[in-house]
Amino acid sequence: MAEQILHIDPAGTPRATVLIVPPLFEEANRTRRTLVLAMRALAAQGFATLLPDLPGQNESLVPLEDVDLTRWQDALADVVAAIEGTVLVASVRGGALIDHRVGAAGWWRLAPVGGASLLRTLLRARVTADREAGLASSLESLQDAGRTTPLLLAGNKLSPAMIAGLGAAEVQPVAPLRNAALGSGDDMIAGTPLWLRAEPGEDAAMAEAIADDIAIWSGTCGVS
Amino acid sequence: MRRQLSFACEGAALAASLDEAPGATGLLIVSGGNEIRSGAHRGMAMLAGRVAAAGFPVFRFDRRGIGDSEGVNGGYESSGHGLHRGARRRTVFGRGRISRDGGGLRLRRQLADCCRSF
Repeated sequence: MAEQILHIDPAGTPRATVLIVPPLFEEANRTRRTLVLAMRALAAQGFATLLPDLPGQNESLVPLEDVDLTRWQDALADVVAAIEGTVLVASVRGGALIDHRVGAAGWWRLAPVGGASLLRTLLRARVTADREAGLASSLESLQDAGRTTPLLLAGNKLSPAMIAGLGAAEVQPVAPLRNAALGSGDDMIAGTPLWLRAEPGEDAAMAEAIADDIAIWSGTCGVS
Repeated sequence: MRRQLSFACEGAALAASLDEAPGATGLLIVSGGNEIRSGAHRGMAMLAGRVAAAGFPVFRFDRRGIGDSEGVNGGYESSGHGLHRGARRRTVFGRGRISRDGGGLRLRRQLADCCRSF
């Protein structure tokens, strides 16, 4: 099934195509606005940009319960295989866990995070919700249950394969790579960790900083 | 069938999703807060899919300056529309008669016209 892909293109022939790999689960909602603004800024600097929906995320008609990290990696590889010309990958947070199997001239990762950390946050939310509902659960009991049955974690119904995959997933080495971090120092992206907010936010200055950083870095990947 | 589309609203292209269905009564979902059209935990996208499966078309859109839409988010305060004021803290569901004369294009136009008032 074809998933939605948001395209924002430059006026003329693109210098290269930047594939945005969004964060996973609710972090994708909270960051989407700013990532779309970064795409517009990149397009203004001559880059074609695209932001695909992962199966089971956002507008996808696929049940989240049917997917795992491998399927997401396959989906991204298929998206990139259909792109002509030079491709650069820009991943944010958990997106960095699924970006390594695409063919690209370079990888740019913002605040990459391990799968175990994401899973722990989801499990904690479930434990808190259970407690409010008068149910007793723990990280351990949930992880045990999640080995054989799907779990509803912070609004996301995750299959045993997804739970196991997330628990073990680490950011994989790729080259050439730029790891970008939020901060005020040289070589850092000035901005706010929008993925921690309770609802989608916007940081237009951060979007500009992301676009500028990617544009400058692209020169080291042979993009002119 | 879910279609992704955009429509012009006072100079900005707003992004929208239409879950198609044969019914002549449509459901318009207006997100509260700054939530994108798929909703928290994809709740609105899943709701739209179920309502469409029951036979009624559903239209969702990103408000100006939200999600994939162009423009600046002026917040709900920038809108004087009564229904939109009601959407400050929660999602509003509107229902209206829509005509399918002329097929999907007319359906889209009517729904898009409806959104302009928000």
